[in-house]
Amino acid sequence: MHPLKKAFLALVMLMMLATSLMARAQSSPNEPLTVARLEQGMGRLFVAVEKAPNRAAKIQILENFHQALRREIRAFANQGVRNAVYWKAVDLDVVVTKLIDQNCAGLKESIATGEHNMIDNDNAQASAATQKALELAQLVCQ
Amino acid sequence: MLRNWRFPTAMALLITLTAFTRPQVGDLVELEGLVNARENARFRAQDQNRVYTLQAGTKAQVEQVQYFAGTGNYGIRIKLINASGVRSQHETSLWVYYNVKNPSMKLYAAQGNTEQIRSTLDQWQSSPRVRALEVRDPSRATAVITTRETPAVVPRPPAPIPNPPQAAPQPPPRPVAQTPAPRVAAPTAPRSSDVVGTVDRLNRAAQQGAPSPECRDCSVRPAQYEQCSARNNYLEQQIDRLQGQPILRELLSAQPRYPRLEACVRESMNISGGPFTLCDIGHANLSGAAPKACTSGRLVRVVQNGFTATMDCLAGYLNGSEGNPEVLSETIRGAVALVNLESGFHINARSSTGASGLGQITDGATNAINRAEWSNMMRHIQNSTNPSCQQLKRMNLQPARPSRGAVCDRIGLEAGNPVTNMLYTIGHMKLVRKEVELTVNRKIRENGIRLSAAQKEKLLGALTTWGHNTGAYGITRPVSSLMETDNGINALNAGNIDQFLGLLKGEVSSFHGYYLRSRGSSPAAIASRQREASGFYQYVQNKMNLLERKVGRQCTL
Repeated sequence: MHPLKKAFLALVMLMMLATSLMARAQSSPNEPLTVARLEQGMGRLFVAVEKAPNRAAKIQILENFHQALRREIRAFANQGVRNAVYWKAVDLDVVVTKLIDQNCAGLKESIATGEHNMIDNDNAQASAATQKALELAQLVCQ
Repeated sequence: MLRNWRFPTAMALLITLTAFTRPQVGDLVELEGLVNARENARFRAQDQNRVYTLQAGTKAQVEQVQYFAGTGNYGIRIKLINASGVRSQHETSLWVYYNVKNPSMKLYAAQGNTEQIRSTLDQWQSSPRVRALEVRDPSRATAVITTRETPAVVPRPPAPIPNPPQAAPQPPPRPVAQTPAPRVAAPTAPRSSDVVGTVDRLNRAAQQGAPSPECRDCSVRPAQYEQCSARNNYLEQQIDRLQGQPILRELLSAQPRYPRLEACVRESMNISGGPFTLCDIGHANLSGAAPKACTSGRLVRVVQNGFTATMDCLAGYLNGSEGNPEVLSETIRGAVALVNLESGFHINARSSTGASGLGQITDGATNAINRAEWSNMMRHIQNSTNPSCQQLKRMNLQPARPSRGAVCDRIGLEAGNPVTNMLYTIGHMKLVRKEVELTVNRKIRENGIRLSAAQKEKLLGALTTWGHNTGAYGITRPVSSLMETDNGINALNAGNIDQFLGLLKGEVSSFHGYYLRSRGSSPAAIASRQREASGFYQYVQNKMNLLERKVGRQCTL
């Protein structure tokens, strides 16, 4: 085999290995919070809540998720980190605790209308986070 | 010696007292002699507008009052109750002259007791009819001459308003008088005991800082209202046109429930600027920008009564303060502070963003309240025995439409404002409070934070006020964040709510910056919004401090 071909294959192998390691690192609980990890966690939460047999089980899943997320938020909060990931995590945490603490009656209404006054003249355009929260509320209260 | 000193003093005070005996919309009158009734509020002989001579015993209700600064007397438009021989077009539009020193009629103050007034009206409607003598040719009619002697001073009479045989069910006792009492009595010479009693009463009232029972619009000192001009009297004109409307009628006739707030409302209007706008009557749309409306006594009364009726009824709904006068007082003070900043109690304040009315309610907030709170508030009003709720119940309240095209629903007198806007303001406070309570309660539980009930109420009240600007979403995230930090938790454990609120500014600014960046707002818009949202609570406090300095005391009950 031509030495250049060998080098190219070695490079491809190395890149595949790095990608695999990065993906593993992102799902590790000891890694810092990132948008990707947050979204993966949310994806798993959706699946778990959907599969849970009853409301009590769903609430327990949400509670566990909240406690895990809270630990990460707390670490960030005391370090003074206030970046986009942090606020995304806080937003998700507030939604999750709302789903736990509030009855289903009026829950979706209050999530859907909660974002008013955030932008001047904004009337009804809910953010992607709110859309996700509504979907989760639908799963919890169905 | 004492007697010699006391009598002239009493006379002087009582002459002052008669200056306060002025007719108001909703009052009842009973004629004691012949009185000319005119088609409009012109009372000179050359006006030739006398259409009837009303006889003694004629009973009526005051529909409109016009003050003549030159003479200190009044023109009053009356609705006849037991008169016969009156043409239909004159039934509700006759004017009579009310000479303060020689009124030729008994005047019964409504004092906000609408139940009592209603009962009395029912009884009067079945009283003997008195024929009105029609003036066929006004140009040849002669003025009625009153020969009755009138004393120089008119004491407050002991006789109450004639009660119906079976009194209507009375609400629980309130600080205001329950029985409408004649403001001016049948002319009898004052006894010295009456004079001394009145002097004592006035002195006591002045010492206590409480309003005199005879003085409806003053607390310690008489209220100073602005003189309206053709440029700024547009709301006065609308009140004239709409005073028969149920909400406005209630607001004009009700005795202010918390008289101490009058000065706060009036001064807030005086120190606050625009922009302002005007809603046309009959079209429910904006007619454009308007100058600041004059702060007349009648407008202040409408706003004050609208504010207190809604707050008094719904404060308990807002924070569970029902039956707790201290919490109620602080809740109302908080709402005064909020409205003071948002609109300066100007019902037609409107910002460039479309936020409108007393609480500067936005389209989004209107929509949220319609979906989440309106029916809850209406249920509370319907089921409550609170007299203020009973008053709201009679007003046939309608929700506002959440669109820019329907902004007059939140501004216009015709749409039931300022009551409608105050309902939305309270509804928004409730929306925010519910969300804030959820977050705060959970964080207190999870982080083992120790707060007394009073500290917690102070915190929740402040966050509710702050959230009026940011919405529930914009305050719960920063609060949740701060309550996970050691600094935030330590401030609360030390009971230092102010320190916590100071720390919260940074969280609010950061969160709103993140939110707007994620939605692609411009850097200038982000910076502006961060400043406004993070500084809002401090702005409320600063302007409230200014207002209370102007008033000379706290705006509590």
